[in-house]
Amino acid sequence: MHTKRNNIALFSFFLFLVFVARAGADTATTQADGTFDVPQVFSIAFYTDSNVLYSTGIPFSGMDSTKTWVYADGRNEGDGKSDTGCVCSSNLGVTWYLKIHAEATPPFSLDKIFYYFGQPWNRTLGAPADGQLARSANWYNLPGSPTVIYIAGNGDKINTPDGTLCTFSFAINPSQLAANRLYNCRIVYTLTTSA
Amino acid sequence: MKGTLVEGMFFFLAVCFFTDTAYPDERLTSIITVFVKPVLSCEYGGEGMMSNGNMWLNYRTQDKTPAKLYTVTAEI
Repeated sequence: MHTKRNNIALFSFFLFLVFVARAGADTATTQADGTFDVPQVFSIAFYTDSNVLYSTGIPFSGMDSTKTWVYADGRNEGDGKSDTGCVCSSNLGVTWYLKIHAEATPPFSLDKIFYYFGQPWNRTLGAPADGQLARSANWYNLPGSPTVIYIAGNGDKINTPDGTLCTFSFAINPSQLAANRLYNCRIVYTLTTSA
Repeated sequence: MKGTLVEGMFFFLAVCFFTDTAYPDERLTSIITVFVKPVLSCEYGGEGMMSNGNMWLNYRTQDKTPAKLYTVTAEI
């Protein structure tokens, strides 16, 4: 009789333990399925700082027509600066190309303007961009139609958020230009996925 | 049925083509303005003695173009 009562007590205690254990083991699980919609980025924008002086307008004021090679206002030979900078940003994951050309308003002609373009800088990676210059870094005449000057490397294909900085310097040969008149030339930078 | 299949293939190819070229070119423009300052100074170009005993001196403008060669005669 006494044993039977003990067994009932033990069984009751066991049930109590199972109940407590189950109550403690209850876990609330919430599952959230997230979808991320990353917008496409494919853009080109001007960049300026203390070493990249200009963007939409590049002044060559007071040019001396006795010279054959002059730089923009505030520029000197080997000053380590640039006239313009373009930040090319993309997350398309495809090869992109940077092209340049100029449209001169007569009597100004393209044989009087030159550009210099060196290896771009990948601002996101903080290192020189790994793409390929179409021509080695040097001074060249500006082409009259869009011409590839840089082919994106693997690091450029997805270079967001800070993009790849491409800087340019320009020089003019003002000889035989008449004084006291304004000459214009339009520089066009094109970011494209087609070569 | 055959026509529908061919049309479907053309539609598929068209979709592939436009998907592949779906990224429009992006452009920026800079305008270069050039202003040439007037030059109205001279530099010494030579000298000589004329038959009447006067000395001649040549000066020319700084652009050094022959068409703008000026001769200044100075009497000693």
